[in-house]
Order: sequence, then structure tokens, then C-alpha cells
Amino acid sequence: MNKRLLFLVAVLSLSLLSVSLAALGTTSTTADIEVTIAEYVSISVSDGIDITVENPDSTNAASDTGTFTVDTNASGKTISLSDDISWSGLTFSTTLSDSSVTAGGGDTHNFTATVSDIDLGDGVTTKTGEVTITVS
Amino acid sequence: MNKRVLFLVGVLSLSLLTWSFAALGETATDTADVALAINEYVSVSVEGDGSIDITVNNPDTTNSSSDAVPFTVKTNASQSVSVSDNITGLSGDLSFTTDILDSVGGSSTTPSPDSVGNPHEYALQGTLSNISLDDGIVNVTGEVTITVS
Repeated sequence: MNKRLLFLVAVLSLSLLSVSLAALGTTSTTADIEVTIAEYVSISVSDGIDITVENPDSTNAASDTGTFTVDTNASGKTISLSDDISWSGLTFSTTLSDSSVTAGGGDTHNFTATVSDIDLGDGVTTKTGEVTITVS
Repeated sequence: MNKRVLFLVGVLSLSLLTWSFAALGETATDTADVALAINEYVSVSVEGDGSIDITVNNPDTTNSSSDAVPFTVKTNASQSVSVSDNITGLSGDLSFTTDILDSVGGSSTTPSPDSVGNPHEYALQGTLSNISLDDGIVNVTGEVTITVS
């Protein structure tokens, strides 16, 4: 009787042990990870254009240089300029020092604006406008 | 089979469309302010020999005598021209006057405000009048100031 009891106890113990070991068991699964750093580009103008002509009799053209910074994480970007300026009797033009963009922060560029065909006939003049800088 | 082909074509088209949008990339713009100022400008310069030289050789038959010097005004604004002199010490009834002429030999008119643009040619004429023998021998020098404002 004791042997049977011992046998049953032993069997029961082994069963519980098996259940416990089964509960400890190892399993695995996977989770997908997706990281996206999107293309980013921004422009910040630091200096505008301010041209003052003191002697329009001897000054045919006057220029000033503006500065802007491009921050981007993409390569192959290019810079272009456009303006809304149409001043009667005067010619306005812009030139870009470098149209290519370097990926990374703080890529500083210059552009020069020139007003030409200045003469006494333009009178005393104050004019304003905007130059649009595009990075694409 | 046709449905499978259509499905594959559809997926391929969507992929190409997505790639096309991606190729367009990001664009950023900013604007720079532009300001232009052409300030008021005016200059006056005396031309020729730069002097008025009146010499009277026969004060018995000469009641008055004149000389003129051209001057040029350049400005980009409406201006007025005026003159003043520092001639003093003339003997007897002698008098010295100045006139602004439109040009050397032109009519004696006070110029209207100068036109904007092209340089304007004027002449400054000095006239010595009331000359007589009683004035004696005279030699007087001085300056005429031309002011454009």
C-alpha cells in the first residue's frame, strides 16, 4: 500500500514537475521595426538687400549682397532665385554665388542684387520688393 | 489569370506613382526683403574760365558793362537757384548787380525750379552800372555765390 502510495505520489510529483517545466518554456516571435527620417529642407535668410545711392549722376549701378542658410538632410538640392521687382526706368537683377546645396546644417550662401540704369531722371526714389529663394 | 495580371499591373503602377512622388522631394522657400533708396542729389559747377571779369576802358562813354560765366546744375529733384555776392567798396554811384540767365547771352529771367533729370545750363551775369568819370580808377574783387536748393 505504501509502495502504491509512494508510486502515486511519485507520478503526481513528476506530472507537476512536467507542468512546471512546461510553464517555464521558451518561445519567440518578431515585431517589425520601421524607422523613417523624411527628407527635410529649410531656408533662413539672414541679410536682406539694402541699396542706397547718394550720387545718381555718377552711379550707374549699385549692388548689395544678401546671405541665407540652407539646412537639409538631402543631397542633390539646388537653389534658385526669383523676384517680383519691376521698377520703371531701373533694371534689377540677382546672381547666386553657388546654386548647389551641401547636405548637413548651416550651408551658407550669398546672393547679389544689382540695380542698374540709374540716372538723374529717376528722381528721389524709395522702392521695395522681395527676392524669393527656393531650394528644391 | 487576367485578374492576376491586372493585379500585378495595378501594384506596379502604384509603386511607380509612389516613387514619382518621392522623386519630387521637399521644397523650401524664403524671401529676402529688398530696399532701394536714391537720395536727393544736387551739384552746381561753374564752367568756362570760372570768373566774371568786367574791364571798362572808356568810362566816359560806357554807362554799364557786363560779363557772364556759365554754370551747370545737376539734380534729381526740383530745385531753385539763387545768387548772392560780397562786392563792397564801389566808389561813387557804381552798382554791381547779378542776374541768372538761361544761358550765356540768354534772356535775363529768374529760372523756375530746375527740371529733374538732364543737367541744366545757366549763366551768371554780373553787371557794373552807373559808370562815370567821377568813379575814378577802380579795382574791386569779390565773389558771387550760387546756391541751388
